Amino acid sequence: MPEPQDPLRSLFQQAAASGQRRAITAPVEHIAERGKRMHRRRVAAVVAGACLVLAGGGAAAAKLLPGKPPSTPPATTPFPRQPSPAPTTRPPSPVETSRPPSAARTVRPPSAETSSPGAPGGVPTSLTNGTNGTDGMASTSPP
Amino acid sequence: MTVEEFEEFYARTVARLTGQLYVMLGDLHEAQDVVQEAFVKGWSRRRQLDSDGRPEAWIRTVAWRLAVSRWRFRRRAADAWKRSGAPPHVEGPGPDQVALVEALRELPAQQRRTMTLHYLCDLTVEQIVGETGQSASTIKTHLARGRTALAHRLQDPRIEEDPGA
Repeated sequence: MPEPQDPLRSLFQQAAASGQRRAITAPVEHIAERGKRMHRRRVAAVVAGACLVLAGGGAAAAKLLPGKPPSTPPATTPFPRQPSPAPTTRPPSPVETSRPPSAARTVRPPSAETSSPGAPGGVPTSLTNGTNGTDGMASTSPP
Repeated sequence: MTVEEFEEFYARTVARLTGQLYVMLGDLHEAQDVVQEAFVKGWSRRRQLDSDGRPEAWIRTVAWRLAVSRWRFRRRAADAWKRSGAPPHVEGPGPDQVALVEALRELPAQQRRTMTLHYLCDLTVEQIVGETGQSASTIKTHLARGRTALAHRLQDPRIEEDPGA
């Protein structure tokens, strides 16, 4: 510690005393008010930072953790299913005439018109028309 | 430290700290401003202020650091001048004080701070080490070189003889 008689120390003290005399000090209420304001700002900054960290962590967790897969939408928009008409009510179409003969028709009981013996070509007698005996197409029409 | 204790501490030390920072900085307005800012910071850290038992050193250190920051942003000095306004008419410093402050301004900042802590705040080398974080040998070098420089600038041979060395 320097000695009290040190001229340099005296000069320092005189300079400090000069500044101390001329200093204008703020009232302590002003200091307290600014201190409170700074404290509020710091608390608000801490809260905002904590919210950001929580939100970021939540978003990252939601992205990284495996969850329920989202339902896949259909490729095309489905249209409402219409009740299909019964096969018995389907209107006749020309295509139907080319359908090969079904087994059900083969078991149709022979009628009196088709029971002629000696039908040509090995054609089942149940498919032959009764009038001319040559064309089986007419017999393929739906009932 | 309670609010009442802080108010009492402020009233007791603000003028002294302003005088010390004035010698360190060489600018009274800036000294007032940084001391006030340091007290504002200290208000919200009243418990920490009281913890180490040296609240005045804490305020002084914070005010010095604020001043160092302000040297980097010189424009704030103009704001401080505008905020404080023109000072009232008081008796100005004598020629000796002006000469000392002017001479101190020409020293490096850390050297100026070390000289002020030693010769004005009556801190020992060990205490200055604790407050500034510099090594003891650096402190001693600052004191010796600063004393020599001031003796040369103030043209006072008595100063160069260091009675404390």
